[in-house]
Amino acid sequence: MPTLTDPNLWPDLYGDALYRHALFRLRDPMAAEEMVQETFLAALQGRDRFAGNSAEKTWLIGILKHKIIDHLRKTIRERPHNEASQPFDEMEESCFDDSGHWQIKVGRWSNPDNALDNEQFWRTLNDCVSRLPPRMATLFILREIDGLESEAICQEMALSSTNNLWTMLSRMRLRLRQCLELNWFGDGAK
Amino acid sequence: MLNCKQTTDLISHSLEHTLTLRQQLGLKLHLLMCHLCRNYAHQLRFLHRIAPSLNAHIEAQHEQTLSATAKAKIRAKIKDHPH
Repeated sequence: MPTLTDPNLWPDLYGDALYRHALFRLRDPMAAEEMVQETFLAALQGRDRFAGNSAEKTWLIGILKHKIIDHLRKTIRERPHNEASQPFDEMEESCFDDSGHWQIKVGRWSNPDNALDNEQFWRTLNDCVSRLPPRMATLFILREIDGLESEAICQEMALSSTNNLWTMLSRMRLRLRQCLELNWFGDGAK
Repeated sequence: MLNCKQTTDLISHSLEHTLTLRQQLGLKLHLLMCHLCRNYAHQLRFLHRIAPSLNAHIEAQHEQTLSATAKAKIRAKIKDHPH
């Protein structure tokens, strides 16, 4: 029988790690806290099922992942409208003129790979994700972080077609690129 | 002839699925002539390539922590839980 540490110690041992994981995915401190709490209580309930073939922390993260997916599904279904089906997107409007040509400067980024060693760059990218509309931020997580396939994302996000998904992805990437241009790579950012 | 907006959509779509021959041709032709969309294409591929490392970087920065109040609240819940 594998042994677990005293559950009273869990918040101090694993609270921060679980919280960071949840916050990264949900971008909502209140919800992230709630997920951590639910994870510990579910773990307490299912303590007998801890097989001991993974570390205690890995086991808890596994439970947390399920809690987060359930939470995302719930919030996605509660949000009334479907952004992908909107014909106009304010970012698109501001980037292109009526004939669909750029009306902003799309500058060249010199040696973008140099930014990868700079932790401040990752913070900037993370802030840009947080500034996306909530559904687009969720889309970023499911597609770019988890690498889910189109069909799976449509299902999770209750999107009716892959065309809607691809439109939303394109708009999301337009925003992210723009945010990084303004805050990191562009002439004005230095 | 594709405009820039349609081209940026195709660039994004090309990260999701194989484009039709017609789309590929239209994209190539536009990129040959438009340096703004060429920049855009490089940048989108760059973002798509590096994005999967974002969570590891952010979670390793250890900047965000669960507040002491939240920890105390959760500890109390654990204590109350019948076990």
